[in-house]
Amino acid sequence: MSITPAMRLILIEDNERLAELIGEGLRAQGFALDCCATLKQAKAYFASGHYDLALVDLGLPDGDGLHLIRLLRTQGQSMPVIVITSRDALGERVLGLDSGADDYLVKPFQIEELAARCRALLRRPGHCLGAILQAGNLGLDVGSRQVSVAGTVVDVPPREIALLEQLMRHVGQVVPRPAIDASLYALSKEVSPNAVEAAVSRLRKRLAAAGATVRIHTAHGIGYLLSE
Amino acid sequence: MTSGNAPDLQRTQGRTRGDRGLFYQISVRLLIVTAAFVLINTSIVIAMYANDRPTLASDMITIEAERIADHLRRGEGTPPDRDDTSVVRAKAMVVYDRNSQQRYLYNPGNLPLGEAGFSLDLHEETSREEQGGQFYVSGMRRHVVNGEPVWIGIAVSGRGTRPFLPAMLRELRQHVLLPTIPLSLLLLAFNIVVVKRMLAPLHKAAREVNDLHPSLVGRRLQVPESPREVRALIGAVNRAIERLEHAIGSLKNFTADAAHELRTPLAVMMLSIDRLSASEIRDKLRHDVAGMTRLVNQMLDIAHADALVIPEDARADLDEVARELVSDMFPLAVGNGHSIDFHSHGPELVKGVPDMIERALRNLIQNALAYAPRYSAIDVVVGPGPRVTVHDSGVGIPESVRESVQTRFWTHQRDRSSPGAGLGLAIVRSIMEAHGGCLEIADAAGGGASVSLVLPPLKTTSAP
Repeated sequence: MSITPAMRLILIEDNERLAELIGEGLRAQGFALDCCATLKQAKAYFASGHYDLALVDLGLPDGDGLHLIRLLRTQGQSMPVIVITSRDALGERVLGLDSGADDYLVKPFQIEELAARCRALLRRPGHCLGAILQAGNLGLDVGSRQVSVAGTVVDVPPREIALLEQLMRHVGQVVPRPAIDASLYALSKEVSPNAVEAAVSRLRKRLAAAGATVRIHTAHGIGYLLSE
Repeated sequence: MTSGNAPDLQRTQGRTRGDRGLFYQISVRLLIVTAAFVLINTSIVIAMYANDRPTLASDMITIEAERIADHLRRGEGTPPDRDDTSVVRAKAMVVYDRNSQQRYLYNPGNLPLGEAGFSLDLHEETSREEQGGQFYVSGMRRHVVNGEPVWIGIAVSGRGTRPFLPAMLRELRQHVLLPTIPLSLLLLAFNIVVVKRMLAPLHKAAREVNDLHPSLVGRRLQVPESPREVRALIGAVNRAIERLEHAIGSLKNFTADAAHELRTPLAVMMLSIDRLSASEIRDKLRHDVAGMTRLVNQMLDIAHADALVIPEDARADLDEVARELVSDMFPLAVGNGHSIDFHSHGPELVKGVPDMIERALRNLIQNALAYAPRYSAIDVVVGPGPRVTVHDSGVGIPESVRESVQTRFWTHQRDRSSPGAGLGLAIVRSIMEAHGGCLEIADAAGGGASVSLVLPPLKTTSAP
């Protein structure tokens, strides 16, 4: 997957070995990464440079990572923040997200999972990966509404592109059915009850015919998942 | 303390032979002291009178004169016969009336009866002689019989102390028994009231201690205003409970802290394995780390389940909890060649902690995914009613082991290779029991296991 060279991440993690492994893993995935171990260092980094995304461990030697997130938000910084923590109680997750974090990842995790979550956040409209979405050999230019498989442009109707955009912005995550319904309603007022099923079915065939490496899975009763 | 010990505790609280209450012990001692008091008092009275012959002699005449006066009041105006069965018998007697007339005279031995000293203003007179163990006592007493004053003169002679016994007994009755018996009864009654009152705070404290349970270790016994001794005891018990609470707290925290601390090294291991080039060894290492991760998660689940107290106002929507969890677990299931189908009968509100119900359901889904054949789907069904069921198409859970799979560290022969599987259902059961619900294991319709979380229905009418 190609990443624009301007993508800069900052990791605030006090465990040296873990910071080193996350750093190596994310750099191998094409991200540029700065690491620091304390809140004090992190503040200095934020003061001197721009970052597209922050990865924050909560238990830091000089304080709680949540304080840093709140500080960033009060300063008007809108970059996505992923909390990396060993605590997984629902209350703590809610607290983390309420403090302004965008995602919450419990240790241990695989580097692909962390990278996928970073990309998912960066794919959100308004963030740096928002313009061109990539999954496997499948590409979607959000601006020109053009779909390509392995560089070859594929003809896809607007309704299916809307569906695909939703799925590609959340690769590896289940997109709930109501969210998909909403995006289709935005295009047309006349959506039959099984319009989504029909659109997914046609899109699957179209992508398979074009040789796309991604798969669309149906999470019955919940929604759909695009996996690379 | 486990719940299994509770009946023993109650049994020891009951009364057994040889283990008398404080009230009984105090009463017995009080009776012994009273008896000793009576005995000492009697001895003192006897000793005093034995050395005080003049008083005894006077008392003897008084008693005998009263006896005759009683007889005169009752009878036909004549004194008693000589055959009267009395220990002391008058050897001679005389009765005068207000006219100084002798109404009656009995004096066969012609003994001196004090006639010489008789006068109408005489009230009481006694004289005594003693010669070689033989005594002679005479005296006169004024009495009132039927409204008329009479003077009764008596003479008695005898030997030794035996004739004085009635006088002594009278003294004992009047000066020892009469005051002692009411005093003893009063003391016993007082004892009942005081001991009951003093023991009441202890009984209350015993009930409170009996109701204590590790999950209620934050409670303290109510300290009574008095007595000071009971206050001191209850204060000491409260301080002991505080130390216990501290110990239980650090034990619980230790499990949770240890599990949390293990996650960072696990993350380091997992990321290190990611750097290895693709090989069978890498896949095996990944599998091992995944197993350890599951075990650490279950340690946390246990720590949370054991500390779980459901707040009265805690609410969880089973539909929402299950939907989010399935959404969260679906990518992993798909990655392992499974699928999860979600079916819901709609929102289902229960009294419960969403985080804990999620932990319980996560364990059920993980079990189902572990046992379901590859490329098969498991079903998660919410409702009807306050229940969530997980169906898989695996080999099922035989009826004979359905109880034992819910105990900690039980593992079936078939899954020795899957670490942590021995804790899953035990955790689910703990969480369900804390919620007042249960875990149901049955056969799925098309084969495989059907495991349900069953929660008590929410009482909407109880809201004020």
